[in-house]
Amino acid sequence: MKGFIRLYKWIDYTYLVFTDPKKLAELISREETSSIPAGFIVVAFVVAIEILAQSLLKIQTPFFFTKITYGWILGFLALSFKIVLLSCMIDFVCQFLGFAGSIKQLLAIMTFSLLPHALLLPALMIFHVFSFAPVFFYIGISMVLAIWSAYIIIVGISQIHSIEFFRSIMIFLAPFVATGILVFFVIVLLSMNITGYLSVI
Amino acid sequence: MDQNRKIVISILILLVLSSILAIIDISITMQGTKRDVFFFRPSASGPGIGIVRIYGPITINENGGTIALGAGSDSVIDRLSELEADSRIKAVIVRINSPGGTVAATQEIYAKLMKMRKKNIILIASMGELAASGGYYIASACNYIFANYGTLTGSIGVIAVSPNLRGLFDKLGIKMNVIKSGKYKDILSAYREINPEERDLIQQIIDSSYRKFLQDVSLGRNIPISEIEPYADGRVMSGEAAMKYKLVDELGSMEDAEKKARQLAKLPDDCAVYDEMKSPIDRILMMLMSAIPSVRVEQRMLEQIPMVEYRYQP
Repeated sequence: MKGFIRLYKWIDYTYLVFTDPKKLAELISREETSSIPAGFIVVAFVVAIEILAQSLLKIQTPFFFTKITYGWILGFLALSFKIVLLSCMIDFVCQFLGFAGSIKQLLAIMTFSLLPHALLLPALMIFHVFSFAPVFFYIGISMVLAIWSAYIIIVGISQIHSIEFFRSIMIFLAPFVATGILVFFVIVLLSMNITGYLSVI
Repeated sequence: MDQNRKIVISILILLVLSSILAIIDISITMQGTKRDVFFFRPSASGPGIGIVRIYGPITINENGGTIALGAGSDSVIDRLSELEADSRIKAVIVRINSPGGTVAATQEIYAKLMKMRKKNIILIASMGELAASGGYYIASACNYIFANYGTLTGSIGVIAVSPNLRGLFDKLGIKMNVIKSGKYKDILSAYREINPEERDLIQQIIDSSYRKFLQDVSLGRNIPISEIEPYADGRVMSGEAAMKYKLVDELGSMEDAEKKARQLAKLPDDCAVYDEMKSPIDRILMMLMSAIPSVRVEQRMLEQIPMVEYRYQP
């Protein structure tokens, strides 16, 4: 980690996130251990940016200070948990399809893939300052950045396992499809329970 | 890569600068924003006022549970006990919007309030649209009572209602088989007429409850029974009339009640207010519950249990 910071490798990683995700994946494959902690610094940074961006759009209250302190810690933990969970799920799908598992590399790729989200704040600031539909652009920019992140992850999966791009898209989407089906059934069961509860009152 | 590194560092500096700008923007805008936009009282800490809400008919078992501000005496007493145990609470506002309810439930809440009053906790009653009969009974336990001009209050009295379905039963040819241990066991049954002896018995209960009502109002309001009795004939009255008859102390809103509570408890103007309003999810569930009131009414009708009540029943 010290070398990672001292040798300015983190700057190279940042540069590659925006310019060449394929090369980033190669680099992560070689130095997976040192890039994971740096990846979680990216997560913390992105959470702070997201909180600031959302706060800009809402009515400002003293609750902002709670959000940017405790909320930031909580947001970091929640996002880290989601990343670890998604990495595990993707890794499981990879292993299920007969590819070698590499959760550390996946974790590093996923954390660095969030870096484009940091651009949300400066982009949003422009629309906020000119009061030009900031909420609309917040949603629009967030969607574009989410697609960008997904692209980095898919390129990463493709590079790590040496598989074609479209196959890695399927691997990436599989956990979301599985979660969607699970959530659907949970909602159906929950609705049945609530309806039953309300009908007996 | 050196050139590229410079570009990356420039982007990062831009990001840091935009973050600082965002924080400055939020902080400046915050100063011009009113408090209490999202939260009832964000600075709820330190000595302050507690709020208890008594909404709807008062019964023992109509417990609000997790998703309602129920007027079940158990939930109200639980809330009062919480406030009583909390050393920060110097005054309590009892917000009442109720037509009254069963005798026992009302008396339990009254007794709890009197106990708190003896402990020198300032109690202020704030009446909403309706604080009649049992609603007024509870209010009378407070040190000071606020009513709105248009509040319906009073209705000091006791009522027991039982339907007489004898005619309907005869018409339909329905006969009830009753095996009882004593002649009064099926008193106030819906399928037969009430006889004079039974009427006397019920009247005794009504009279005793009525006397207790008068005594408690007299004690709580610190005025002799003889002054209350002329208006304690079950009549409802406006807040304005109630003030004329000394049944309330002042005409005012909930805000006025808070102000009075602060004044009597010698609390600063910006003291904390501990309300019992629940979380947004609970409020959504409460809205769902209130959307199906007919279910409750039907259940009550099915039970058909005659009750002696301190209740305004138009």
